[in-house]
Amino acid sequence: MTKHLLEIDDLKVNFKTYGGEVQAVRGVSFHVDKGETVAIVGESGCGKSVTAQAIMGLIPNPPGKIVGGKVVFEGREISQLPKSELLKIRGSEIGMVFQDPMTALNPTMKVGAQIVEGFVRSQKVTREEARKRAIEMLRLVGIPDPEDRVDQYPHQFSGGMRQRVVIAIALACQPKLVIADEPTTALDVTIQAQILDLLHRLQEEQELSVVIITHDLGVVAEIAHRMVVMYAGIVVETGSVEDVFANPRHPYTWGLMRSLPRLDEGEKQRLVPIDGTPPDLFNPPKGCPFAARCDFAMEICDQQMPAATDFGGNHRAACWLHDSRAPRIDELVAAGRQGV
Amino acid sequence: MTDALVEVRDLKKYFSIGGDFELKAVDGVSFTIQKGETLGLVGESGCGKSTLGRTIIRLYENTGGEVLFKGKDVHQLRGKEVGQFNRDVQMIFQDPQASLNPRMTVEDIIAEGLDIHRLSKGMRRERVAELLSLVGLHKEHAQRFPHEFSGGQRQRIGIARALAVEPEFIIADEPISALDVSIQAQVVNLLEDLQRDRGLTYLFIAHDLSMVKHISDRIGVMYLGKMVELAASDALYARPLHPYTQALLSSVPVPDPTIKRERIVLQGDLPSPANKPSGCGFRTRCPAAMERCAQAEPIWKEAEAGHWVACHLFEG
Repeated sequence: MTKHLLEIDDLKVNFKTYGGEVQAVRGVSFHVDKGETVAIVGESGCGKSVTAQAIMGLIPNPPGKIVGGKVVFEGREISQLPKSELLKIRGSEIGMVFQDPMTALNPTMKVGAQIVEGFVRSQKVTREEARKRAIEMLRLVGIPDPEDRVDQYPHQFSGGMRQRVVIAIALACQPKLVIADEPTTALDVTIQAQILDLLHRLQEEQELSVVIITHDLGVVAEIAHRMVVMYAGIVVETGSVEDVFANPRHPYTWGLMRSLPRLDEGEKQRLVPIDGTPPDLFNPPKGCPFAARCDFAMEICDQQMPAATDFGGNHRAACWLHDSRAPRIDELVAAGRQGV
Repeated sequence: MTDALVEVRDLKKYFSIGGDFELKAVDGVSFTIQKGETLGLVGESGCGKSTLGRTIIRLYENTGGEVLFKGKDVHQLRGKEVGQFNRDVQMIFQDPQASLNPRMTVEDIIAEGLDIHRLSKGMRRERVAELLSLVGLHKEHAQRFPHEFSGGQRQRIGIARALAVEPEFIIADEPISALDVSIQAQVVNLLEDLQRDRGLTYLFIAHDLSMVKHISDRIGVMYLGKMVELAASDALYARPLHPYTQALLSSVPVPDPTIKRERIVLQGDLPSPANKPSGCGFRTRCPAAMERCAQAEPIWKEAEAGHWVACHLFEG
């Protein structure tokens, strides 16, 4: 158990709102090894960002609360640490890259100062050394003229450059793990390509572990080693990127893949959307949360949450179709259900 | 070319940004849209694609050039003609949260156009119910408010509102960008069905290249206020001519881990449209830039049948 760098075990997070208690994350488990990139995929509201915030200890309490499970980082349970202890890990051991670089940066502070803020706090360094470090970080993330840029303010940077600064901040203390929450969603495709290349290069050079949160399966295929597909607060499928793309096992993953148009599609085909919308997490269904939108739903699906089936190589999916008592999938497809 | 519904000729839209400075958001763009076709418009933020859409529909006055809708210059319309144009051309906006008035019921939102154009003829409620079912919602939804709907449902309300006045031409400005992937496909299918059943013509503005390719018959690529390439969507994806289009296409992540491609990663950022490079706007990031690119603007020409490009590489 201790060999993983990060291990999330049955994590549960609730938020209290005026409308009741939202069960945003309802028992999520996965792990991240050293030097590995793990992508968490899912639609808005599936709990992927909340999971990331829970790892960082950034769940605002109140209204949010980790009501169950563990976050183990380097063999140490960190979800219940007091704030003073957490501050030592956050930033220096685990770095975070946020979605929108405009709101993640302080507009009234020079970027150099922002990059080394955590570094200065954790290590006693002189002003000279800190400045040198900031320049070095800017160079690392590919910003031209770092000696001049270090004294500029965020508004003097373009969107892509700002995201590079945010990455520099996350890496300044040489963390072992970086959590990137939709790091390219706010960027244009040509800039996204630059940032993905940068993340990939840094990850290999620095032997970083990366958790990347995204809704873009294209990004997952390009950058991740393993992926975790979330739906309505639970993990429905997980496995290596190659396995999941080649052999998706959960109807939700099938649906996600089918609903994407592809640049290399030949004949124009009609898209196959997933009908309906995700369930309400104030009062989540007791069975499989995807049952209401699933073409293959059976009676059992509404009544009981399916257990995860292991397909080998860490590829798992939680679906009743893989139960030994379920009808065979190819027979269902032959009988007219929408297939893979 | 006689059945061109929309004809844009050398259209310019400049914004004054203080002093004598002008931001040339759209700088001399020409193209036509045939009746019943979908023209996709792609480009990165700040390339002028939304400004172009808004100038065509008269939300902005033009600075130069003209837009002909059914042969008439839309920026010269007066009196009753304006009302007719506003019925014929409708817009669907990106953010269904921001483009629906939160204090109006769905019925009032959808019927606003009917009221303005006096089209309901005492059948207001029935018309709204009909429109709701057309976009896949129920008539019970009419008395609710926008916040009671999900993003995809809100976008359906926006589409119903646009359809209420029975337009011929719809400008959709990033209609699916704010939606989740599984919902995007629902909305795109709806738009395709409506086009088939009602003979609608679309200008589909987006930055998601794979979705644009899926829905469009032809695609225009914009960069810094200029159209750099325009072609049938298959031709554009199979044989992109402009170096910018090539880079743009190769930047799109492909959802298939077995494909390892050489990506063309462009260096640097989009220059500010308020301070454009001389000559070709793309030359500062272009891997194929030559001396000539700094000196003269490339000419918009038909390099292959129906395949237009503005690049010195194709001027021979």
